[in-house]
Amino acid sequence: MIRQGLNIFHFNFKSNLRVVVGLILSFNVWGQQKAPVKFLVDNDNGYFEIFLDKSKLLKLYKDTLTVGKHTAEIWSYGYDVKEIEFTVLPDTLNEVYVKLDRSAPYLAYAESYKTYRMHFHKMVTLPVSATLSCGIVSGIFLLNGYDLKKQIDLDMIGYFVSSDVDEIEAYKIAVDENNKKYSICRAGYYTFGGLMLVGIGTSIYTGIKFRNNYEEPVYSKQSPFSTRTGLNFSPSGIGFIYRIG
Amino acid sequence: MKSKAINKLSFNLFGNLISAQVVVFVFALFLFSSCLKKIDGVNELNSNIYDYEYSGECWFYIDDAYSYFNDFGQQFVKIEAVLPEEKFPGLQPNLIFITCNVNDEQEVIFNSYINTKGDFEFFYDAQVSSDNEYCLEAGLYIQDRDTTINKFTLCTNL
Repeated sequence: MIRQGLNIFHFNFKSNLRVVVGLILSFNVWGQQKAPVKFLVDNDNGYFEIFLDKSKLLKLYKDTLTVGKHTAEIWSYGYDVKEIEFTVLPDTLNEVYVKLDRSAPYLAYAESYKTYRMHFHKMVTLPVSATLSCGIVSGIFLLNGYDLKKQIDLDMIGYFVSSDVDEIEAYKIAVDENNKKYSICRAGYYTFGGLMLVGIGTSIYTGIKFRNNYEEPVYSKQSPFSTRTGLNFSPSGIGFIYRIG
Repeated sequence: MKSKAINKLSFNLFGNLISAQVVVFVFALFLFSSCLKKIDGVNELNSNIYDYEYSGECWFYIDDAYSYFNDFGQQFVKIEAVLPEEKFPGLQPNLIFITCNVNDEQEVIFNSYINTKGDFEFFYDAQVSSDNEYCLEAGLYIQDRDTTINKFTLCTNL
């Protein structure tokens, strides 16, 4: 009998008078005057759930409710459930402003998550970033070095096949200058490449250490209304189910 | 919410990241040690015979030396020399100029054409020497600069 509304398609008028009475009551309810209500929920994440009159779960900010007094419990992820009472007036857009308060467990979670992230950045992000930076710089030296090497090789071939003294001198000067640049690139490549290797080793070490010593804190996103609403209402408002008793 | 989702993704990837780093480390080590090696021969660009700073061995050899009488009955000694293909740069011109003299006689500029083997031949008609020794001095003549470079001397007996 509690979930009588569900069984309206299976009743028998002659055998169950109470169901008929219930139906008449339901029609009376549908016949009441309604007005639009807009819930202005003040929270950071933009998500909220409204458990209306201890019977209807609303996940939209706007609905049409019967005129009169109503109660609601409002919840959002990371916030305490807030109970409010409000009155719906006819022929007007009713606005209900609710400011949610952060829950203590969430604040504790946020603090521990912040600490966790700080350790993560210190032990993983920083060494990996430094390693990548060294790798990129080393790579730049490598690419420049390869370009210079290519040019030196071409100039050397030019030197060996030339029979023009001016051309030969030009090739020698070019090879000499490019070889100096190439030496700088080599030095840069080996320096930053060495640092990159050290960085990779350090990253692996700190990464393993971090994984073994720290665990990501978790915070449940479970709605407190999920256990209290065996029959969920569609926010579109198409279906109406009342809990009786 | 978006940043949290990214964080979660990064943490999920984190486990794989460490093993990936080991692979990267090995790869980087291999790459590191095999790249940008010293270029051989850069400081030894002195093997072209047209280089002012040529430091190789003599770039020609004496192919033949013999005495003969000209149409006026005078006796001379012909010293024939060859600039072999392997001593010459890859892009060979058809004609080169070689200055040469024997036993400090008058220097001449010889127009030497490339032969079918890719060599350049030149010769000098020398006066008969009392000690029977003939020393051929030859150098490469640079027309643009009116100078001779890389002179070498080779001696032979009849």
